[in-house]
Amino acid sequence: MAFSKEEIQEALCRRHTPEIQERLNKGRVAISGLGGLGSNAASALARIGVGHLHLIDFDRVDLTNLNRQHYFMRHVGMYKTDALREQLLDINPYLDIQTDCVRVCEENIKELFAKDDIICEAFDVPENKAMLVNGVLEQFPDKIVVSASGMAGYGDSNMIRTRKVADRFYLCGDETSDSGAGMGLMAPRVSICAGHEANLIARLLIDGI
Amino acid sequence: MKGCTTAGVFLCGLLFWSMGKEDAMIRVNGEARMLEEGVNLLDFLGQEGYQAARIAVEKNGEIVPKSSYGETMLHDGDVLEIVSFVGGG
Repeated sequence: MAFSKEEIQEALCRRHTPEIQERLNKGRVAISGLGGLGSNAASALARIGVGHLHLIDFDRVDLTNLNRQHYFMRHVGMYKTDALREQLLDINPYLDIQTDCVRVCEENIKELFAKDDIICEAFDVPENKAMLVNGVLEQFPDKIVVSASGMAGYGDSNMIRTRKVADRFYLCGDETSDSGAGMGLMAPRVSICAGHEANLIARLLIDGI
Repeated sequence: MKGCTTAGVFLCGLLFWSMGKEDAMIRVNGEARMLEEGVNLLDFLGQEGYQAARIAVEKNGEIVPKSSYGETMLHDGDVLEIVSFVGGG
């Protein structure tokens, strides 16, 4: 069954109020890395109708990703950008979703994130996380970075928190649970951290905190 | 007598040397730290065992560009926030 853009907007406004929905509609958010953090955060943002989503990842969906990442069997082998775009448009076909199937590096940050207001860092490798956070804060004077560090395993949910590190830099996670220390990444805890990132982005878009 | 003079010169020298070195009190991730005035950030991070490729550093609320770590001097009253990323996503 197909719904019109107006019907979907009305449904969102009924849940969120028109004032808040208007702010979400205008949101321009990049999701950099479409693994456990990025795929779950992007899905949450698509559900509340964040108007402009920019999905970035170079990788394909692997069977081992399905323990925590927002993909299905039919997506295995597909580029994550295509697989996630397909799902988000199933939630809301009127969202503006841009994709870039590239590997982010210091040299392409300036061009890649030029149109995004908020950048959700959702990489896996710590060196890549640091590269993106440093790169965005150094190369842009006004963009906000929401990053994540420490969400492996099945430890205490309440150790995962959101804090403002600096003016344009927020960090979610417990900041200690490293995925490399024989502790796997699992859907429940990674989703909690992705939820922290997505909720902070919602707050930034709605209240500008 | 001569030994006494030598010791005196040595002690005076030691006193002069220690007076010449000023200590700086900085805060690192909320904790007070004493270090020598004028130590650069790159050396400090190395001494503390941080892996430069995995961190982001804010000094007095501003991001410190990676390329500037070596020329960023730490002074009394500086506030550092060092985020050390771990893996997983």
